[in-house]
Amino acid sequence: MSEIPEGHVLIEVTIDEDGNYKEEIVGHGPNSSCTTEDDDKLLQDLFDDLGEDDDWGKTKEYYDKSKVKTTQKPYTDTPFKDTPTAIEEEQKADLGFGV
Amino acid sequence: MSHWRSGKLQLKCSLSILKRALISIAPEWESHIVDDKEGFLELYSYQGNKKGSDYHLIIPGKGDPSRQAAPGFSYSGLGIRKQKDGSWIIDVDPAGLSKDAYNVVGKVNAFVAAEKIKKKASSQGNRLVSDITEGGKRKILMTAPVGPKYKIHA
Repeated sequence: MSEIPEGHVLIEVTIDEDGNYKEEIVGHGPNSSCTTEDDDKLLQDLFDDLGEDDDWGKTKEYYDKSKVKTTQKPYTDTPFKDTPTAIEEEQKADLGFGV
Repeated sequence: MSHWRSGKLQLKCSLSILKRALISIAPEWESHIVDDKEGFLELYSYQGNKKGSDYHLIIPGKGDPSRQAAPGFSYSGLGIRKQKDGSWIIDVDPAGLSKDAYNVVGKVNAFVAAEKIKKKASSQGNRLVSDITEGGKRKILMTAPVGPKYKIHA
């Protein structure tokens, strides 16, 4: 097995035939904390939101047009519009508006 | 006669992952899978009896009056419907399915878990060391950077 890099941990995820999974830290690289408490927290940080939905498919309710919000933010001009470019500054200066 | 079994998937995921999971179980199902992101597909059982009409994905069985049955399915097909909380339910009559495909709910669960774990790991900059299946168990090994709060500071 290759060496665990500095500041890294080696994680083993086991998935059984029914899809039950278990994560475990099975090795620590140099300079990474190896307390059980930190291991648990780290695994929580890494995998806590695994069950969150990342789906484009929504429920029927989502597609119920009566419930879809139709409000839309007004289109705004690009913020660059108000910031004069270097060329515009030069042009201003040429026209006597510059400092 | 149908012997429906229903199983809830442990993890929420996209329809495309579910589709890939089913194809990984039986590649011959690919051309028979029908999906509908709005969830209005109908699932049938024996003699064209309708099991429901709120499915996001179906694989038709011989009881479907308008579609060709997928290999291995008897009269009842397989349907996946979404619950309000975003979780998926699989309805299936596994009677005619092969030994490999019989535990279809468990196999889909396992595929989804592996895909999500690998995707999550990749997004966090983890490096895959190995991914092996032994005796029905899949083991994924990866190295992960720990971040400052888990580092030992001298």
